[in-house]
Amino acid sequence: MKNRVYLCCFICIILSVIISCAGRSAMRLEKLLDATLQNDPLSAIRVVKSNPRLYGKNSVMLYNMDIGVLYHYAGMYDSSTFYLNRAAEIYSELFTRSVTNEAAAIMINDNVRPYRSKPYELTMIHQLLAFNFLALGDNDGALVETRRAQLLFDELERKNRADDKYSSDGMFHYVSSIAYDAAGETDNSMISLYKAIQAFQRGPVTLPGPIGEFAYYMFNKNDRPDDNVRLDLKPQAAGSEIFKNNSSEIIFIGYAGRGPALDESIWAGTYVKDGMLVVNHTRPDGLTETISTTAPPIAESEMRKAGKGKKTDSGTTFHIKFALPTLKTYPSETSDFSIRCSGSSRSYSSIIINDLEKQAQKYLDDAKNANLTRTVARVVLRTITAQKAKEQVKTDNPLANLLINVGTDVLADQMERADTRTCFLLPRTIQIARIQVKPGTYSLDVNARGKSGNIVESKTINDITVMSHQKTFVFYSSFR
Amino acid sequence: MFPVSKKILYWLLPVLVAGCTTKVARVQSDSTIDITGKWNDTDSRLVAEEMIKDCLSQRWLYKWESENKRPTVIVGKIVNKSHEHISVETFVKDVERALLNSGKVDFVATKTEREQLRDEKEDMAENASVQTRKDMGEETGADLMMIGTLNTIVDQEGGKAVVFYQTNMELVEIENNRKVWIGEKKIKKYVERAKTRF
Repeated sequence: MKNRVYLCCFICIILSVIISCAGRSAMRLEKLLDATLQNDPLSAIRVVKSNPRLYGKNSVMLYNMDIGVLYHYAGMYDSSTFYLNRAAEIYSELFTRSVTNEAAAIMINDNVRPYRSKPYELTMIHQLLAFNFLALGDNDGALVETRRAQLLFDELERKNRADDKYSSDGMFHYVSSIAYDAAGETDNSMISLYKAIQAFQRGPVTLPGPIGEFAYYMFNKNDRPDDNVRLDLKPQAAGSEIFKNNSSEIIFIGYAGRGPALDESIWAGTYVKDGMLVVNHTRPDGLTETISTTAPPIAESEMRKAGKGKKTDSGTTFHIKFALPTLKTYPSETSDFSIRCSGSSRSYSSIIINDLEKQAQKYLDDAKNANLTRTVARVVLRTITAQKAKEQVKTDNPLANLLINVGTDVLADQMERADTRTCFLLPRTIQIARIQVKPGTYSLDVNARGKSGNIVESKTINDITVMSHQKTFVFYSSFR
Repeated sequence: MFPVSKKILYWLLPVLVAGCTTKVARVQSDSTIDITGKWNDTDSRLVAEEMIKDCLSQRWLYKWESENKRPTVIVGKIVNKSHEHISVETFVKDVERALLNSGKVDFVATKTEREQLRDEKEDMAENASVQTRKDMGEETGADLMMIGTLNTIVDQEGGKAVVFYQTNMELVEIENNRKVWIGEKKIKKYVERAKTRF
């Protein structure tokens, strides 16, 4: 009787945890979708701040990151810096992992673990912080972010030495090279440019041709021809723009299209105790993916039982279901930007320096094995535990038995939720255009263009002041 | 009598409640409390103390003292080349205050401060009485500029890090670009973060 009461209480507690965790990502997406599409970051900030339960205490880092990103889009760089710094501090605090929390995640799902962001999202935090400082004309502050991020990259490289996982970022190093150039630190600028080219060549974001040409020219100009050989860079195309060290520039940064979110993909199949696991998943295109893997080998104790002719559980089968995160992308009208600067008839086209869809897909591919191993271990453990629990609480009432068994099965089923938390407020691509100018005040006419060159949106940015040897950053978002 | 489990709860409850309240304790402003391992007020104070002591005891002042003059200094840019956002003003202001209060050095307003003063003078030119308005073109030029850098070197693996801070401050004669004083303070920290907790 006591066992049944305890089991019922346990089921109620776990269900309340699950209900509070389940579907938060989907609810957050739904609430923020409209404001994001209409490019109304202030409305989105109001939604986020008035609905902290959409994040919960396990996603405080994501809460701060989302607000920081939205304030950046709104051009409120000081506020953005406050929240993004807070997100970076929380990440640092989460270095220490809670043993009880990790144990709970083994039994329930990964949503009970505090959200630590993906490595490319952490880089984006530092990148947006650098952009905030650059927007406010604080080049030194931006370089501090460069050094903070470099410590992160060093640590990622140390952990991922043996494999091809994310450990550097082409966009971050490229923008850092611009900031170093603005500070008159030519050597550091060239080193960052070198790291940028290396990172682009590793992927997943392809090296933009103009940046490769620019790097080739600058390495030669700054007496570093060996860098061109090491990076296998080719000479400039005729008619390419000539840059000087520490020149005055307007740097246009464009955010194009909606970034990806995460969804769940449901896998179902059979676990053969002490044998193997076979699970299937139907993709959106209708094709079926199958994973077959050996389950943990037959335990010694079970072998001994079989040897003595005793009953054994090995070979019994269980139906299991689990969820893995999968990428959800959104179509975007905006493909790139064309920019005209006052005082010049020339039109500049932006180039892609980061693609968050590719970054997110690479992350999922890199993390797939670890996710699968952890998820399978959790589901198998939970399945066996549920079976044992059902055996313990048999009653003399068939209806009660049915309720308890169904409740246990539903509980085990509902517990399984993929961790779909991500910062879906990031843009699909981040693009750059560099416009060399003499010191003065300018305006930019910006057109967001579709794939066929049609104009999706337009804006004029006025009163852009550029001092001697200064790089003035301007930002524009087109999420359509 | 209460069952054992209820007795335990009875004694634990006040402890649990007390553990949930916010605690505030006032401490001495010069006490050393390191919480995160990042640059803090103690580091700023150590740098200021070292710079002040060194600056006032070096030979560069003799030239001015022998001519019975006080050098005029302007604070220039202290560049933060570290990996942390550090407010360098906290120790620069301490150094400025100590040098000024020593009576051996004069300071003039920085570039940003001058802009405010000039705006005020322009306003006075229009609105203040002739007897009280302050004329343009009467500013005191500085003899020396104080500049500096703050650098860090970090050696990190996992939860362990050794962080080395080096702060350098210099006095440069504006007329002939000669450096007359260089002060330096080094601080090294070992920071270890726990991998797990309960």
